[in-house]
Amino acid sequence: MTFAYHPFAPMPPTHSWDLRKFVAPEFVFGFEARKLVGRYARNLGAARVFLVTDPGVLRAGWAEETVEALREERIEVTVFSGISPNPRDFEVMAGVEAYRRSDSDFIVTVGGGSAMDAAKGIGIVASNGGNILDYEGIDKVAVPMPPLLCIPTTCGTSADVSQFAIINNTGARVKIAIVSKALVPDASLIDPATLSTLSAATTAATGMDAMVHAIEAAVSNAAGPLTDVHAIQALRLLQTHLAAAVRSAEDMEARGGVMLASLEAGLAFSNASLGCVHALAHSLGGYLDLPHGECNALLLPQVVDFNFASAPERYSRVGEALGLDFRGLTEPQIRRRLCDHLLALRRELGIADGLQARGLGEKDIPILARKAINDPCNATNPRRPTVGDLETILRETL
Amino acid sequence: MNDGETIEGTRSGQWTQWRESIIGLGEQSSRKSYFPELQRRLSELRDSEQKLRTVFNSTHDAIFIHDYQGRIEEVNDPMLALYRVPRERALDFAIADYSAPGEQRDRLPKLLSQLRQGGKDLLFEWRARRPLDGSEFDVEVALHPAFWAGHEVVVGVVRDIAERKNAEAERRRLETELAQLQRLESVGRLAGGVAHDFNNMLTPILSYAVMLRDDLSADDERRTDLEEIVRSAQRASDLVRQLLAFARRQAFELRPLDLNGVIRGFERILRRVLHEDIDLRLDLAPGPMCISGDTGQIEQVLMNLAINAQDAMPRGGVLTITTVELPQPTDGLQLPAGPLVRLRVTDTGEGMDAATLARLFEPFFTTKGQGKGTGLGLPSAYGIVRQHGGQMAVESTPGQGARFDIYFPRIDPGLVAQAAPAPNRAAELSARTGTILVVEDQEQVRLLVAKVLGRAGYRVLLAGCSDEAMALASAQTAPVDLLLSDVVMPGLSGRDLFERLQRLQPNLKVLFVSGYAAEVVGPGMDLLPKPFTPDALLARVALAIGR
Repeated sequence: MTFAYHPFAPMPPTHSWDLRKFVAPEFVFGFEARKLVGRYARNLGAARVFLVTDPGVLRAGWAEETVEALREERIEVTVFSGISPNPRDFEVMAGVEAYRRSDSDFIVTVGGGSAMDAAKGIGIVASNGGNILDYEGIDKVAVPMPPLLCIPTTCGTSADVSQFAIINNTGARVKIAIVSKALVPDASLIDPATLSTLSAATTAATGMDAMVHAIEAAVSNAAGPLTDVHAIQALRLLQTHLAAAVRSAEDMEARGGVMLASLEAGLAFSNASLGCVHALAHSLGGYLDLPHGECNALLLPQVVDFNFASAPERYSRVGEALGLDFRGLTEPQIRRRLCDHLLALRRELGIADGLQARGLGEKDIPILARKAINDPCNATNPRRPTVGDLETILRETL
Repeated sequence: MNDGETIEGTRSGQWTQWRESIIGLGEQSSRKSYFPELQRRLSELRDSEQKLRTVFNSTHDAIFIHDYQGRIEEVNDPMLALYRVPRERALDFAIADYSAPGEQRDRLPKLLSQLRQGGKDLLFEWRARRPLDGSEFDVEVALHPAFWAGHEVVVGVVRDIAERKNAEAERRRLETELAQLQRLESVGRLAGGVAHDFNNMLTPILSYAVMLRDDLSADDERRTDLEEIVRSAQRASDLVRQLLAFARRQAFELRPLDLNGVIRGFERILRRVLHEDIDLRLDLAPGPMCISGDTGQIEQVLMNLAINAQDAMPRGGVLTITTVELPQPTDGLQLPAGPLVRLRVTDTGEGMDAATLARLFEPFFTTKGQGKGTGLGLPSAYGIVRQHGGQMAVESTPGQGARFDIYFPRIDPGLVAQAAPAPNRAAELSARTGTILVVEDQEQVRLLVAKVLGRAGYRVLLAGCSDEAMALASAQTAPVDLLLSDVVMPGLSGRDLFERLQRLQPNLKVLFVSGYAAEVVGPGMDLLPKPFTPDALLARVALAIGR
C-alpha cells in the first residue's frame, strides 16, 4: 500500500474494532497531590508501611515529608533506600528481606523509575516468593502484591501508572521486563511540585523517556483509539513544555506540563506497549548502566528511520504533534525530516554524542543485539526486526 | 540462512502471543477478583476457629487466659462450670478473686513474675475460690507463658482435684488402718504363741500344787505355801487368758444371747467395781438386742471399757452405756450387710489425742503410768469383739471425753429362746470308770493328766502323737470310752484324730484340751482350756463320758 500524506488527519484506524483493554490505576494529578499520602495509606488499610526510595530523593526531602505524613496517621514506617539507578536484582531481594523483617503490610514508593520498579519487584517476591528474576516475561505474577502507592518524582518512567517493572539482571548484564496487571499500582499521587528539585539533565533524560514512550505507543501494532489520544496529547505537551522545563527548574508551568505528558505517555504505552527503542535500551542499560532516558533518546532517530516505512501515517501524526509541518513533502522527505528533528531535539536538550562516547565498541554490538532480540517490546514494534536489523541500528547509534 | 529464518519464524510466533498478552487479552492478563479467595480463606479461618474452640471447651480442665496483672481475657466453658460463674460475669473478676484468700494469694504476684522471668511452665496445687458464693476447693494449676493477640499472656490450665484429694486421704486412712492391723496381728501372734506355751507350763504347776495341797493334812503349815503357788499360777493364768483374748485365740463358745440381758446382769458387779464418783448410766434400747456371743467375754469387754473410762475420769464423771439397733453398717465399717447392734460406752473424761488413739489397741501400750495397768485391757476387748465378728471404733478429742462404739451383727431373737441350757453339773457325780486315751505332745502335761486320771480310777492309755494314738486304739480289744486330746499337735490335729477313731468306734466320746484355738472345736464337742486344776479336769472328763 502506497503512502499518501494527508496533513493533520486523524490517527489511522488500528484494526476494525479489535478487542482492546485499557488499564490504569486510580491516580491524583496536581500540585499537593503528594500530601494525600496519609489518607490513601489509611484507606487502603496500611498499618506498617515499607517506604522504598533512593538516596537522591532522600536528600531532596520528599521521602522525609512522606514519612511524617504517614506517621501523623499513626502508621509505622520502615524506610528502604538501598536502590541504585537501573535497580538491580540483588537490591530487590535485599528489599524483600527488609520488608519481611519489618513485618510491613503496605508499600509506598517515592522516587523515579528506579525506586518504583524496585518497589514493584519487592512486592512481587514478598507475596509470591522465589527470586525476582523468576517473574521475567508477561503475566508471570500469580498472586497480587501488597497494596502499592506511588509518588513519582521524575517525569519519564511512568511506572506509577504502568504494568511494567524493569530490573537489572546483573548476572546476565541485561535489564529484564516484568509485565503483569498485578504490577499496576493501587494508587498514584502525581505531584508536579516534586519536579522542582530535578536537575536539568534528569529533566531532559526523563522528558525524552516520556517522548519515546509516547512515540512507541503511537506506532505500536497494539495501539488503539484510547492509547492514541494519550500518546498524541503527550507529544503535544512535550513539544510545548519540554525545552522550557529543562531550561528552568522554577518554571512550574512547564514542568507540570512535562509531568502531565509523562502521565499520558504512561497511560498510552502501558496499554499499547513499546517497540525496538525500548528493547535495545533495556539491553544497553543492563550492559553499560546508562540512564534509561538517555539510551532511549540516543536510539530513537535510528529506530524511527528503521520503522518508518511500516507506519508512515502514524509517524506523520507523531511529527505533526511535535510541531513539524510535512505539507508538500514525499514519504522519504517526511522520514528524513522527522529523524533530523528528533536528533536535533536531543542535542538541544544536552544529550550529545553517541554510544561510542559512552564506552561502547563495535565488538559489543552483536552481544547487545542478541540480548535485545529477546525483549518483549519487539513484539509490538511496527516492524519486526531481526538480530541483524538491531545490530545495524546499534551501529548507526555508535 | 535457513536456520536464521526458522529462528525468526519461531520468534515471530512468540511475539504474536506476547502482543496479545500485552494488549491484555492473554489467558492470565485479565483482572482477577480476590474476593472469592478471600471468602474461602475467611471461611477456612472460621472453621479452624470453631474447631479450636470446640477443643478449648471440650477439655475437662478449666482454662484461663490472663495477663501478668491477673486480668482475665478469656476463659473456656468448663471454667464457668467449675467456678459457677456466668460467662457475662467471668471476666469481671481477676485471678486473685478466683483464689482462696490468705498466704497463697499474697504469693500470686511473685509467682507470675517468676513465670515471666523463668519462661518455664509452672505446676502447683492451689486453693481455688468461687467468687460468687465464696466456696473453696482444691485444684492443680499449670501456668504457661504465651503470646495472645500480639501481647504476653499466661495460659492457666486448672484441674479440679477434690476427688483425687479425697481418694488420697482415704488411701492414707486405709494405709494407717492396715498398718495398725498388721502390727496388732503380729503382736497377737507373738502373744498367742507365748500364751500357749505358758498354759502348757502352768498346767502342771497348778495341778501338781493342787494335788500336793490336797495330799497334805489340814493342819500342815506347808498347805499355806502351796496355796500361794496355786494363787500365783491362777493370776498368771488370768493374764495369759487376757493375752489370748487379744490374740483372738481364746477358747470360748458363741451362743445366742441378749446383749441387754448381759449388761443388766453385769450392772451390779460394775457398780461395785467403779468408784463412787463415777455415775454409771444405762440407756438400753427397748427389747432384746440379740447377738451371737460368749457372756463371760462380753462381760470382760464391759469391764475393761469401764475401767478404762474410770481411769480417764480421775475426778469422777459420767459413764454411759447405750445400745441401739442399726439397720445397716455405716460407711467405713467392714461388716457384712444386715442389721447391727451397737454397744456404746462414753465417758466425760480427759479424752485422747490422735497419737494415743493410734496406739490404743496395742498390747502393753498404756498411759496410766508404771504399775497402774497391764496395757492389756483395751487390746483384749478389741480381740474379743473381733472374735465375735464385730467391730470396735473409738472417737475422742482431748478434754472432751471418749466414745467407744462396738458393733455386733444382730441375730434373730428366736434363737436366744432356743439356746441350750447350761450343762448339767450333776453328771460330775457319775462313776469314774472307763478307758481314756490321752493324746498330748507335751510330756509334762501328758504325765500330769495320766496321774490325775489314774488316781481317780480310770484306765489310761498314753500317746505322744496321733500316729501313736491310732496304733494304741487299733491294738485295744476293749473299747476306748473317751478320747482326751490336745487340739494342736504335730501330724494329725486332735479333731482329725477323733474323726478317724470314730470310724473304728462310732460311740467314742471326746474332750479336747487346748492352750487356745476355740475355732477348731465343733458343736457338741467339749473343750477344756489350759491351765486347769485336777478337779476341773476330772469334772469335765466325767461330764464328757456321761454324754
